Amino acid sequence: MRAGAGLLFILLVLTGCAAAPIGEAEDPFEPVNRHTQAGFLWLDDHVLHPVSDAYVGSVPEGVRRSIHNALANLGLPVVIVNDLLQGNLSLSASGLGRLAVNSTAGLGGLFDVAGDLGLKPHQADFGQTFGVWGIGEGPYLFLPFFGPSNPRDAVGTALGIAGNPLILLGGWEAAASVGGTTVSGALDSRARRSEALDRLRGESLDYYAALRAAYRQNRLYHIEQGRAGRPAD
Amino acid sequence: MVACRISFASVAALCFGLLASPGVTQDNPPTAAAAVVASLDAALLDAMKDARGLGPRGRFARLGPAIRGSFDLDDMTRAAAWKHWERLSAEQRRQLADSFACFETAQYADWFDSYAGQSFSVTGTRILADGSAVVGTVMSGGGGPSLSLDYVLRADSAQHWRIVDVRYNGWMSEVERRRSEFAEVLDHGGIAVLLAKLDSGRQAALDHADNVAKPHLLEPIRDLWSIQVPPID
Repeated sequence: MRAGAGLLFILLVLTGCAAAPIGEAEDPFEPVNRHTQAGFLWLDDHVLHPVSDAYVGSVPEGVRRSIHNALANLGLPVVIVNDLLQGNLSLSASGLGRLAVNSTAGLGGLFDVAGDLGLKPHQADFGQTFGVWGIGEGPYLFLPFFGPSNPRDAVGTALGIAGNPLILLGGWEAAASVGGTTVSGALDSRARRSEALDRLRGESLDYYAALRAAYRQNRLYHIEQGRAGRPAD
Repeated sequence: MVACRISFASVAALCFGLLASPGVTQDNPPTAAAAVVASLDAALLDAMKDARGLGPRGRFARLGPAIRGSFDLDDMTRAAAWKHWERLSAEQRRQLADSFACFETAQYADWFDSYAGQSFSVTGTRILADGSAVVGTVMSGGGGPSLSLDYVLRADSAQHWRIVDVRYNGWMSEVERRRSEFAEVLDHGGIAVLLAKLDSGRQAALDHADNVAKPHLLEPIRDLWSIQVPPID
């Protein structure tokens, strides 16, 4: 409890309570961020992109969809908790319904039976919750592996990892399982975003600036949706 | 090199057509604003249906008058240049506005490169407190995911409505994205570099092959590398 309060205090000090206009990013670490992005893009071009292409090419679409569904199901506890923290009870109930239906009738989350019943998926995360609470984004960061972020969302991401149900396994099993789902999630996400990523890169006058603006706008959208009690898709 | 200048006569004809259309009156702002977007959508659809025969450069020439007539590209350029606009000479401002107009037109010529039964529909118009209008549209059909485009319009002193921003999927502002990019390039390279990047971007867009899957920014950028699993489509 005290650790949580301390964490929030640190967040408030670091991030403040206001967001700069999208065009005027607080980016004091830009040189480091650019280097990190460049390094990650190299890794993406030479490792992640080819691996995700191989994943798409070798794994049937139905299997990929089941893997995606299972990963999404594992993420539902975080979504449900954050809907509650944002005061969005109906969204939380919807998430709980999805978890219950897909975990049982959906065979451990492999099949999105809940979606067929009208319980549509939505996103909610700790970074969004902090934003709904009024905690500012702070300086823009480009984190190794995790990509675009800021102190508020970085803490939120860490809490999201900690909220993975596989943590309950404890010990090395937990680390391996969470690591495995993290990598799988990144691969799944990269495969699904491959063309959009390439598109953004190709259209940009400055890819770093474009990505930073896109990230900040998207987070602002998620926070506004959370405040309004609307699902963020 | 593709000629970028669009004849004054064609733009004037388009503007006259818009003004002569029923509903484009100062007494009915939502209808007038929606009419501008509907006219643009009709031009896009027209180019899409002739896409293969026209090719990228043909679509660029066909869409130029419609885009220059529907968009207030000078206003968008000024907004994207933001703090830097005041430091530019009159000639530099003209060059920047012209290059940006060509760049944006080329993007549209690249994106809308085929027709498979797509249609555009205006989903609604609302007038904001500052007097601007937001016209929501959706492009759907054609076997691909639907794309929502919210156009932000402002009326000039003569009550002629023109588009001053586009938000993709409700959150990605074109002006905000370009503002971020312009700021980076102008800060680190100056106006000459920005003009060169806009020109090379235009060339690249017109060199793209047709009928290659080109998803636009349909997905939350955060999930490009995030370990959070995005919702199922």
